[in-house]
Amino acid sequence: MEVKVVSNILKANELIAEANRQVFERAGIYALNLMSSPGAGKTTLLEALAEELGSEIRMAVIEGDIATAADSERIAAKGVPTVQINTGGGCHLEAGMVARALDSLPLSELDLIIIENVGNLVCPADFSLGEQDKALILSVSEGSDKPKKYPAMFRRSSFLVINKIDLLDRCNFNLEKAVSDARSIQPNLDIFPLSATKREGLAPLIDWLRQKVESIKGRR
Amino acid sequence: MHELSIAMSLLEIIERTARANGMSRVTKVLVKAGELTSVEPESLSFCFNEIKKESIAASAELLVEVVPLQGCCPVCGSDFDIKDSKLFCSMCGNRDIRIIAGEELCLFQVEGES
Ligand SMILES: Nc1nc2c(ncn2[C@@H]2O[C@H](COP(=O)(O)OP(=O)(O)O)[C@@H](O)[C@H]2O)c(=O)[nH]1
Ligand SMILES: [Mg+2]
Ligand SMILES: [Zn+2]
Repeated sequence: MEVKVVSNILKANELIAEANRQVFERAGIYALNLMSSPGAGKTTLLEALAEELGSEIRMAVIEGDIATAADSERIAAKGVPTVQINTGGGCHLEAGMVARALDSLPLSELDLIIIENVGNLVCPADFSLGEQDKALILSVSEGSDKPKKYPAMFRRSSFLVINKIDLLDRCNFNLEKAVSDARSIQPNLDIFPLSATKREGLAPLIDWLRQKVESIKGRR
Repeated sequence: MHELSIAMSLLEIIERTARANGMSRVTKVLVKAGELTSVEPESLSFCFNEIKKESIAASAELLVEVVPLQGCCPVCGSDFDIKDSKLFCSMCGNRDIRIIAGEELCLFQVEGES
């Protein structure tokens, strides 16, 4: 006996992601899924954003890591509500983990939630968390060939941060090529070259986030 | 490496499908994995073969078909294969294309005995 099914194997995750999406929508929260390889600067950028935006926008951070609470402690030190998720070896966050993290956040007091995914340029792309947008950080020390090697991540992102531009001279990173390769995969990608540690080039990204948050609050 | 959790969801859907169709034993399973998903067919098979042992699919063979990327152009209407991550229309050069195949991860067919 042969049975045709055509059943989405990721369906279980997508159902929970959809529930998360509705939670965000009801609370008027803009949720962003921030992805990169390990060490590209996700936590450093979040620290910078907490400093720059924390007093103006009611934000929270969900920290995904394989182990340790080191990153959530870094963010919490900036006075931003933070929840740590440890995947215990898992290479990506799943919607159910985020759903549980949301239980411990004061949703009615928030306008922005940024979710730091597990450092990995491959797996997180397949698992929706219920976010409105995905975003990607590529640091110049990783090389400018990454868009072509990891197209799924670039295709599904709304913006790309090119981080550590303070190291551009030393890393032989071809910024122009990275930008054009990334845009050949996702033509609508907004691209923000910046240095998270030096706090340089953050303004366009901050404006972008501010606009997203405002447009969602406007609908509330 | 998340093929284990994918294999577990897969086995769950197979078991449900087999029960709904009155199968006593699943013999063969066909999965389609898009080129743009992060699934490694070999590692999915490895995980599936580990976890199937106690199940209705204990002797099932898993076939993973990798679905190549295909696009469609909303400007000129053509369908085309996407090679080397060149995500633009190969006919008119338009860059804002739709992907019509290569992003799916689905259980496609279950074969078994009743
Ligand atoms: N030179 C330089 N180093 C950076 C920059 N941003 C982050 N780093 C460093 O990169 C390392 C990893 O950063 P982290 O934020 O923990 O990365 P994550 O793993 O993506 O969260 C740390 O040592 C940071 O200080 C940057 O803009 N320039
Ligand atoms: Mg981090
Ligand atoms: Zn065209």
